[in-house]
Amino acid sequence: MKRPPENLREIWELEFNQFYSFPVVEGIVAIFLAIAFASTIGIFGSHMGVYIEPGPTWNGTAVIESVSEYRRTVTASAYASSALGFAQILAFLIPLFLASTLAGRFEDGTLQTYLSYPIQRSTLLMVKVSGVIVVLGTVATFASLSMIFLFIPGSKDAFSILLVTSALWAFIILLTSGTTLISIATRSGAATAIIGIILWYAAQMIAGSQATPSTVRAVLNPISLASSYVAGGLVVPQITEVYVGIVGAMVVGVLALTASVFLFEKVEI
Amino acid sequence: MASAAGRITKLVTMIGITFLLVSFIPSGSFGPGSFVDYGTYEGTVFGAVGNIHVNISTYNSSGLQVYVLDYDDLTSALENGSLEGTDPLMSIEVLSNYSGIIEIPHPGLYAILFTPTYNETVYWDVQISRPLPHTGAFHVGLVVTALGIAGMILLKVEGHLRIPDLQR
Repeated sequence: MKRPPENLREIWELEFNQFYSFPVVEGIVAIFLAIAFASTIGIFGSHMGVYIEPGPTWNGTAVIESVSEYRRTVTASAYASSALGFAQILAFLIPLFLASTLAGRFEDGTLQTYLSYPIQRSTLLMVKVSGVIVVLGTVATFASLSMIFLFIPGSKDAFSILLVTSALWAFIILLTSGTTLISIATRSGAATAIIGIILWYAAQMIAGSQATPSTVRAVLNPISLASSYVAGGLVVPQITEVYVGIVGAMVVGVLALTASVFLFEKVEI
Repeated sequence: MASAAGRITKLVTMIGITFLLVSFIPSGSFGPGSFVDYGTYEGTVFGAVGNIHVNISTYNSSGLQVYVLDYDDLTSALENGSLEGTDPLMSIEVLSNYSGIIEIPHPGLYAILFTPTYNETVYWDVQISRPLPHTGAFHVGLVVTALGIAGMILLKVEGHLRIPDLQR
């Protein structure tokens, strides 16, 4: 029986040095910053009319409130717009990442080498999966936060930011866990990349269709729902729908991850 | 430790270069227009990452006063119902057409306000576009790239200084 790893940090470092070496992380940071910047200046295309009627009867409270609300909406919209942009690229990046760090390693025998060390299979899988989630989640959050703090000064609506960030992380967890299951089931880098990309883009199309039940839409793309909620617009979803999307995506992600661990323990390496 | 520092300097340099590159992403333009009565101010609030290019037109008017305010001055003007006590970034009179660059000191929300110079109702029209590069992102890019490159040079120098120590 293999003993638990003594130093989880060493496994993390090994994984990081092998799969996240220069310029992988730096390239992702650059791509995400570019998407976030384009989204922010896209939001700046909007504008709002103002007027002042000098005189003793002038009361600017209503106009000040609408200008403040406009600033709050611009910040939330810019943040949400970045997250929506990331959703498109994540549906492409996550299958590629897992094809490289997990599925492809079945083929070249790296997993066999890893498991010849006293490392539990479940621990190795968790390190690989959490690596993808932490790297992509952190970079995406950093990119969108840096844009609103650099380019939209003033107070920020913490609730809106927290809601969209939670939706972003839930989406990453859902996609990573689902693709992990595909990686272990196929044990092929090419198959994981192709099936993963097609599956997640198809899921986005299903999530965008009005014919799809609202709960399924919310779970498949919680970012879209959270963005609509914070940015406002013609159709604003209920907050409960947003919560259902975020929690639902996380629950499905955890279930997929549990199934992946179970399968990974049984699969022949 | 040295390799971690090297990685961080590479990351910082990449971030800086990204900001320099994205500062050349075009952002399009927009152009509202309306009538404004004498003694009142009308205009629009917009966001800017860097300098903006404005094209202002007025038709059949004797003169149109134009003011550009930052967010703080705008809220102060809205509160007081007057531009007194504000420090506009730009204040000009337009007779028929004006085209020029307005320097934006820092990214944020700004307002452009119009009021007729004489007792008449005037139609104003403004086209706002953002010349490239977006100065806000460009300056951030310059500073961050410089920091990253300085870090790389420092690490190189430190590495060269350490070699004689190893040989000793």
